[in-house]
Amino acid sequence: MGLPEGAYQALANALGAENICDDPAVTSGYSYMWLIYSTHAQSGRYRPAAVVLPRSTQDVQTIIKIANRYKFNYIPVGTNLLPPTIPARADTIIIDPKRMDSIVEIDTQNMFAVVEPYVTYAQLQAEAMKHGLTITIAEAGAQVSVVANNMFQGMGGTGHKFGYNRGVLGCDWVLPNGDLLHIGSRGNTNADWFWGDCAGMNLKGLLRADSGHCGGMGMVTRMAVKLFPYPGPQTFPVKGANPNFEVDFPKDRFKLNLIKFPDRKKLIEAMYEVGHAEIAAAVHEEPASMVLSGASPSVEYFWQKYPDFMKQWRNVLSVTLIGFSSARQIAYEQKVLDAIVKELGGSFIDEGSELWAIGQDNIGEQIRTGLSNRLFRIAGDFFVIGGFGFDSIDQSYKMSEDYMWPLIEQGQKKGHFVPDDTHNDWLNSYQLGHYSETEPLIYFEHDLDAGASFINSYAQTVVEAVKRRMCTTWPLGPMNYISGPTMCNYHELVLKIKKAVDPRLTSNPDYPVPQEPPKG
Amino acid sequence: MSLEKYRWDLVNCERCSMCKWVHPWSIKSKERARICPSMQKYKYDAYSAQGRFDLARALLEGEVEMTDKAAEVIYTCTLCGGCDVTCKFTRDMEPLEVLHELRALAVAKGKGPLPGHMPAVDSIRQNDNPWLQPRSRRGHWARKMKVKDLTKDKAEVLYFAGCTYSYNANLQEVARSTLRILQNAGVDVGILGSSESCCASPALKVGMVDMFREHASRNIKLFNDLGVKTVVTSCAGCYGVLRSQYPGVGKMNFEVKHSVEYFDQLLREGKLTFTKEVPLTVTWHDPCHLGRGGEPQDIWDGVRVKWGLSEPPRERNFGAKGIFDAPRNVLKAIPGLKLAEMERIREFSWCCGAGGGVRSAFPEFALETARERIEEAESTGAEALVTSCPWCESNLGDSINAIGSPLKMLSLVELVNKAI
Ligand SMILES: Cc1cc2nc3c(=O)[nH]c(=O)nc-3n(C[C@H](O)[C@H](O)[C@H](O)COP(=O)(O)OP(=O)(O)OC[C@H]3O[C@@H](n4cnc5c(N)ncnc54)[C@H](O)[C@@H]3O)c2cc1C
Ligand code: SF4
Ligand code: SF4
Repeated sequence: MGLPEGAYQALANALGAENICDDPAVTSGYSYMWLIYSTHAQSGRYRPAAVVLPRSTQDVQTIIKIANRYKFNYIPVGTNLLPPTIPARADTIIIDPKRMDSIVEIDTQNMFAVVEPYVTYAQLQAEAMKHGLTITIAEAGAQVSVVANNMFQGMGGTGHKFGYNRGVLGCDWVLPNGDLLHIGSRGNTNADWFWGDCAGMNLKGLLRADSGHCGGMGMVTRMAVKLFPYPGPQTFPVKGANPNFEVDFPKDRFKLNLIKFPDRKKLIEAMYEVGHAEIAAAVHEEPASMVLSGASPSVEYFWQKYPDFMKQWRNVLSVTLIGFSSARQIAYEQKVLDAIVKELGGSFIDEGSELWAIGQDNIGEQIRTGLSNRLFRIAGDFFVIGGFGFDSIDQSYKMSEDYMWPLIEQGQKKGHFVPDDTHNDWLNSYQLGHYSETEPLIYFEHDLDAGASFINSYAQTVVEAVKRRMCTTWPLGPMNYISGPTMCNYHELVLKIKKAVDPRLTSNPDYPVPQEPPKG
Repeated sequence: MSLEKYRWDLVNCERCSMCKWVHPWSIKSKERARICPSMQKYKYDAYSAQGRFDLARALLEGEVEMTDKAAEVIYTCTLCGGCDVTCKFTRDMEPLEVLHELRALAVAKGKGPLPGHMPAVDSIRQNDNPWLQPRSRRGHWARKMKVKDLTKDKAEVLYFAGCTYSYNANLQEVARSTLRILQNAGVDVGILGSSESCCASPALKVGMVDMFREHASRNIKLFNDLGVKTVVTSCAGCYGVLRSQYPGVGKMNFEVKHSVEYFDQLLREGKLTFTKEVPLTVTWHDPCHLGRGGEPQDIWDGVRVKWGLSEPPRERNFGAKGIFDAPRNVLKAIPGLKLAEMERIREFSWCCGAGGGVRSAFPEFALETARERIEEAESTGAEALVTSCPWCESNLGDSINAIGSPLKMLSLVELVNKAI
């Protein structure tokens, strides 16, 4: 089923015939999402009615106005990693921003960059590094879109220092009625992009809270993002050849510490202490599966090493120190860290040891994510068990230990999830330990039973997190109906906002919150 | 259907998009971050390895038909293998093999090869070369040279000129110079003259698998019967198939070398020395089939078992063991010559745009891809762009002319000649 009559022609007239395509050979490229496939076992019905390639904000306004006039749906996308980019209704087009790929500006004095939606983190950071600047890159990978990621989570390696999605400044936002809204200082005449807030009511709050609106409220066409100081070489210092790359940052400014603690409680105490001392750029609990997959050039290599590695790599905290201002900063921070580790009975993994060799590229990963998608290498599919509580570090830990790991063990018993008895998560400190998120990672095959195990566990953790009055993360679409009622019915408010700005419900209609609660 | 063999890859593609870019750690600038020429030109995801995986899966599952448009999506790809390198960094998958299988399927369904490919395919069938030239003239490039004819004599080394160097008057000098250098270095070398026949790479690239196998097995038998130890070629296209595809067709009692490897070896053995200054700044273009495509492939026939493990375990080619150092060693040994590297090199090299039947079926795409390489080469400050592949040389050369670039297009052997 395609678009309403006349709609295709209207789009083709506006954009040029070469910038719209409805041929299944092309739209198939936007139809498949591993997670949907393994949990729903079908994909064809998700094929979009067409894909359009706008070149400018004006083109996006035109597309959205045509969608309103002819009444069909659209989804703005970045690089399409996330499930909500796959249409759930037949009369949906994808707004693919491949032709909107400019870095509009890098303001080195005020330390921000303005980008269009198809600029990736790796591209932006490569240019920023030439000016001694950097940006926090999502663990999803440096190949994802800066704008799309900031419209969803925007969390990554150096978030301990630079914050969790605190870097969005001025934006150009095409609303679901086609109007253009300037956000932040962008809205003040001649004020430009430099600031995320503005006079009067702050509309930036409409952009996103925890995980954005999943394309359900129009499209951001330009975004200014904060850049941070970077005291390293102008090009990312990589050595080696595919598939064995290594990073080589100057030791006097960049220092990785891999620290083993006697148990997770001590590790978590250390995370707090590091935060209190206001040291370090990146602080993460690194689970064995994640570290080993990052170092694995093949699935065979992973499985050969894993049983033994899992025994040795437990309760390891990765702390990356960056000497932003001087080499002395590193020396000072290292002394503080040494004292914390000593007090809590931790021990540093020796540089030169086999464990170190496997974990050493973690520093590169914190600065420019390049290994994370190797998580899929372990079994085919990978995800987190869900509902992982963006909260204090110890609440995240508690939720994981009390509730999520027992679910993981159930899945393991059924043979659905990869064996793992470490009880270590990818547990992250943000904003100097004031905020955290834990991801108990699971790996499963592309199999319907395993997929069902995953999705049920995910839903259960959302329910449980709600009971605990924790903030659930990624309450995508229908899941808001689970989390909303115990959180001031925020989902009703969000739905009202959605209806106010998108009365015809053309912008990814089931997001951020579907009109109706899910059945069953 | 042999696409079926790749079902695991197809359903496990996670849409990570790594196949569209140079690996993030090796990205040095915004402008030179891409690896996939097809994606760059056509923009829609369908024109990437990820999109072609989706198409392959949809074809397998009967969600879409093999239409003219599907064939266009399949053939607008230079088979450069950039996606293969970057996907394999992350996943245990075979994008390049899937891209080849899609072409074989297009042929089986009567949608391939495309009209633009047919003159070359018919010519291989009729004349043993894709250039519509008579067989009898194949050896003319060497008619004024004193060289062993291996249909009559024996030698250790066969110099396999390949179709393009044999017939293209502008490029024949490359073959002659190479042969002369080998002879002067005391290599026991001979040629096949008019008895040489196409390596059939162009047939394989457009999905004519049977035709390719027939030619390949004939060539393997011929080379084995000659009793040569080494087959040397100057063509990266020939080299790529001889090195990575022929072993899957039959047992080879000879090794395959590209002439740049041989020059490097002769330099190290002291049999080739450079005495003359060549005061020039150059940049080297890694041809796809010499570089990442020059790495031998593991011929694997197995299945994916629990957790996606390969049974039997598979050695994968990551593209980094191709011929990258040899040409650089040769260039660096030339007195007075300065090598200025481009941003995308070695396994992350940007394709010249000619491969995979693109130059014949989609000439505009081929030229645009080349243009991007020319701009990258210009940005190094080099005066000349050097390579060692007739396809790259012609396509990049055409683009230099089309955009009026000040760059000179040179074959590596020309510089070697100047330096001797
Ligand atoms: C395996 C995996 C790991 C992940 N790890 C992390 C992580 O560590 N940190 C993190 O922050 N995130 C993570 N994510 C989630 C991640 O935020 C998104 O997947 C990421 O942003 C993908 O970028 P993309 O360019 O593919 O965006 P897409 O998937 O294309 O888009 C993301 C969402 O934003 C919407 N959108 C895209 N562009 C626009 C726009 N211009 N205007 C309005 N809406 C838009 C889309 O409709 C979609 O709903 C992970 C996701 C996966 C699947
Ligand atoms: S890199 Fe491989 S797994 Fe990732 S999208 Fe491309 S083909 Fe799929
Ligand atoms: S082979 Fe080259 S052109 Fe074809 S999909 Fe891969 S990277 Fe793109």
